[in-house]
Amino acid sequence: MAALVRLEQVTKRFPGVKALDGVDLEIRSGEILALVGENGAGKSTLMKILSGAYPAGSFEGRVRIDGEERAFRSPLDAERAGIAIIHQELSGFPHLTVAENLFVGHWPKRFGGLVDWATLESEAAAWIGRVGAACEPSDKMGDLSVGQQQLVEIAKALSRRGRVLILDEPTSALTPREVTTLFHLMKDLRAQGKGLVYISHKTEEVYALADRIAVLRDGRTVHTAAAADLPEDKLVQQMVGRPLDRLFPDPPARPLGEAVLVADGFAGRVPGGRKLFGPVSFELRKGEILGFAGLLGSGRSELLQGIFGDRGIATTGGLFLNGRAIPSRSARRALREGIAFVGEDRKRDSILPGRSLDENVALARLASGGLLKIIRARAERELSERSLRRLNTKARGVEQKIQELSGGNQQKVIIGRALQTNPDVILMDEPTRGVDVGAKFEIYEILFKLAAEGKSLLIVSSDLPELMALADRIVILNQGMRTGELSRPEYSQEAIMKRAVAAPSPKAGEQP
Amino acid sequence: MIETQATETIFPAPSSRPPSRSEPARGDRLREFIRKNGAWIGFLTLVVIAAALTEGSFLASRNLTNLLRQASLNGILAAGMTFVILHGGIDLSIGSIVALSGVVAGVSQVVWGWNALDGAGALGTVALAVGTGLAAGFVNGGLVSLLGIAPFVITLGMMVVARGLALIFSGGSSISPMGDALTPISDAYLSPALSVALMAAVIGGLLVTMRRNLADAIAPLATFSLLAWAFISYKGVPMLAVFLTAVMGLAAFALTRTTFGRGVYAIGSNERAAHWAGVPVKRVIWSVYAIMGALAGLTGALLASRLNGADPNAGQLFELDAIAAVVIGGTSLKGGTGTILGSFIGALTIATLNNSMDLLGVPSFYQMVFKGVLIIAAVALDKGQRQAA
Repeated sequence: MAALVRLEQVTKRFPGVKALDGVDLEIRSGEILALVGENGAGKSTLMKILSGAYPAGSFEGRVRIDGEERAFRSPLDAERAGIAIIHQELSGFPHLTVAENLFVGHWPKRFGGLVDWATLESEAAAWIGRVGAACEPSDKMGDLSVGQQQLVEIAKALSRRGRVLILDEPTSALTPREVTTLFHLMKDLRAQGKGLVYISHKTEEVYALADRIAVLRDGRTVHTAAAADLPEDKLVQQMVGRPLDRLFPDPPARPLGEAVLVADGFAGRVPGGRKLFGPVSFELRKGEILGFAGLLGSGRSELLQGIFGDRGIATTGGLFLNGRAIPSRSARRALREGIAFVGEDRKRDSILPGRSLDENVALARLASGGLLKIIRARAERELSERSLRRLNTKARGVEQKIQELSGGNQQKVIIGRALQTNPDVILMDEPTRGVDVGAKFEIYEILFKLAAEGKSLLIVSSDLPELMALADRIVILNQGMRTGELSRPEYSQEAIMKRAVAAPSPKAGEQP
Repeated sequence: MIETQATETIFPAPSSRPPSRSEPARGDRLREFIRKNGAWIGFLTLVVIAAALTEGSFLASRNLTNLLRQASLNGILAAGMTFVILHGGIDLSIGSIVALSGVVAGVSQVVWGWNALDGAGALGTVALAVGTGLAAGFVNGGLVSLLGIAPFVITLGMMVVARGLALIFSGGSSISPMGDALTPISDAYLSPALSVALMAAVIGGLLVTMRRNLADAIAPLATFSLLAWAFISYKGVPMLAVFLTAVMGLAAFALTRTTFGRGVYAIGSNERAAHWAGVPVKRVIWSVYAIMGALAGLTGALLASRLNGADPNAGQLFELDAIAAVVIGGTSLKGGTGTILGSFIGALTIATLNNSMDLLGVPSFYQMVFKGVLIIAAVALDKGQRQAA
C-alpha cells in the first residue's frame, strides 16, 4: 500500500498554545485510517492543515503528496491535489439543487460561457448513483436528510478526482440505515484504492471500519497501530492518557418519590403546521432519570423543547408539574416553574461566544427574574464561581471566555446555568455530545448526583450505551409516538432499536 | 449538593496553569494590549498628528472644548446605537428621527408659543422631543421584535416616514426662533466648581470600574485628563458634554450592571441561547429601539437649541456617523461584543478628524473622502488584529 499523504513533524502554534507538536501521519492508498482523540487533541487542526485551510507557512513541518513536498496556499490547492474534507457541519449550499452543489465552481460549459444544464443533470445523476444516494439531481440540497447530504458531499469530492477523503464525525446525525449505506460506500472506496481518514468518537464504529488507528493527544501522535493490535481499553487509555477502569459510574441507590412531571396526551406541532410529536403520555418521578430514545427525526428533541415551552412549538394536551397544570407555555415560564433545559447542540443552543463564564452561567439566574434589576457584580460572580467549582469545571477563572474551554468544560458551564434556577425537572438533550471520554464520566457522575439529590431528569441521547447506563427507564419514540418502554433489566441496544423503527400503533400514545 | 471528586485543580491560580497552555510571552501580551486598546491608540495617534500639523492649536483648551461640543450629539446617538448593534441590529432611521423631534420641538416653541414660557416651556419642549423620538423608536422596536423583520428594512422604512413627517409638520421650511430659555442646554457651561467635580467623578468612576486591569485604563485616563484640563482652563464643561456624560454613564451602567444589559449582550451573542435561558428576547429588543429613539429625540432637541431653530432637513447621515463611531470603538456588527467607552472614543475620533481638517483648512468635500477612508481603515485594522490573535 503506497502512502498517498505523509505529514511530517507538523507543528502549529496559536498565541500561547501549541495546538500540534511534531505530528507524523501517513495516509495510505486503499485504507481507512481512524483518527481519534479527545476534543482539543488537535484532530481538526491537523485536518485543516492537510486540507489547506491553514496555508503553508502558518505551520511548521512538511506535507508530502505521493512523496513530493507540497505547499497548499488555499483549500482549492488541496482539492486540486485530490484531498477533500467532508465537514461535521455540512458546508453545502442548501438553496441550490444537488446537481448544482456537485458542480459548483466547475460548471460544465458550452458556447464558451453558458452552463450546460443537460450535461450537468446527467453527470450529476451518474455521481449520485455511484455513491448510492437516494435523491434526484434536481432536489434542493436543504430538503435532503443529513445522511443524503453527506453522500452528495462525498460524490462532489469524488467528481473532483478526490483520492484522500477526510470524514469528520460523519455519523453523528445519521439513522442506522444511513450509517450502513455510508459504511458500505467507504469500504467500496477503500477497495478502489482511495485513502480515507475517519474522525470519530465512537469506538464501535472505529473498530467496524478502520484498518489503522492513529491516536492524538495534546497535539501529539501518541500511538499509531493496526486496528487489530489495539484493543478498546488500550485505545481509550491512549486517548485519555491514563487508564479508565470503566466508562460509566454506578447509578446511585435512591428511593423514587412522587410523580413530578406528568404528560397526558401531550402533543406538539409547528404553529399552524405539521405535527412534531404526540400525543404521548408518561410520568417522571422525583429522583428519577427517564430516557427517551428514538432515531433522528423521531420527535424526541422536539418533545423536550415542547415541555420546556419553546416558542416554535404549539402544544396541546395536559402537562402537570407537581400536580398542577402548567398554564402559559414559554421558556421563561418553565424556568420559573422549576423546569430547566439543556439543548442538544451546545454551539447553536447554549453558549454565548465571546462572553465570560460568569455571564454564561449567570444568564438563567438573572434573566428569568426582572428585566431591569441591578446586578451586584461581586456577589453574582461569586455565585457563578461556586457553581462552576461544584461541577469541577476546569478554567482559569470566571472571567475566561467560554469558547476557550474544552467541550466537556463548556458543557459543565451550561449544566451549571441550568441549575441556577434550582429546578425540579431538568431536560437534557444529548448531555455529552462533543464531550471527550474523560469528561463524559464526570458528567454522568454529576447527573447521578442530581438525581440522588431528588432532581428529576429527562434525557434524550442517541448514544444508546450512555442512555442505558443513565436512565432508570427508557421510553422509545418513532414518528413522534411512543412505541415502547423498557426498564433496566430489559435493556439492550437491539430491544431499543427494534422499537425505534416499529410502526406506532394508533393507541400507543394513550397508555401512561 | 454536588461535591467534587476529581483531584485536579479547579480555577487554578495563574501559576498552576495546565502545562499545555504555555504562559503568554511578552510579545503576546503587547499584542493583546494593542488589540484591546486599538481604538484608543488610534485616537491618541490622531491627536498627536493633529497637534503636530496644526502647530499645537489643536490642543488649545478652546479648541478641545469645541471638539467635545462637536462630538456630543454624535456621541449621544452612538450610545444608543451601541445597544442596537450589540443586540445584532441596526437603526438607519435616527437621522430622520432627530429631524422629526427637532421639528416637533420647533412647533411647540414657535407655533404653540412655548418660547414665551421660559423654563417650563423649554422643559416641555425637550420632553416633547424626547417623547417623539421614543414613540418612533417604540414603533421600530415593536415591528422588529413582533414581526421578526430585519431591522435594516424596518428602520429604512422609518427613515423615510419620519423624514416625511418632519417635512409635513414643518411645512417644508425651517422653524425659528426658539425661546431664549432653550438656548442654555446647548450653549452654557458648567461652573468651575461643578466642572472639577464632574470630571473628578468621571475619572474616579473609570478608575473604579477598571481597577482590575489598570493597564487598559491608561489611555482613557490620559484622554479624560486632557479633556478635564481643557474644560477647566477654558470656560468649564460645556452643557452638551454634560448631556453626553450623563447618557454614556447611564448607558454603560445599564449595559454592564443590569439584567437588561446582560440580555442585550446575550441576544447579540446567541439569540437562541438567550431565549432558552429565559431572556425576554422580544421585550429587550423592543426596549433597545425605544431607547435609541428617545436618544435621537434628545439629540433633536439639543440640535434645535444649538441652531436656534428646527430644520426638517437636519440630521441627514447622522445614523452613519453614529454607526461609524460604534464600529470604530470596536463593537462587532454581528453583535455580542463591544462597550460604551469604545463608542465614546469612536465619536471622539470622528470629531477629531473633522475638527483638525477644519483647522487645516481642508475643503469639506475632501474631508468626506478622508473620513470614509478612516472608517474603513479603522475597522480593517481592528479585524486584522483580531484575526492575528
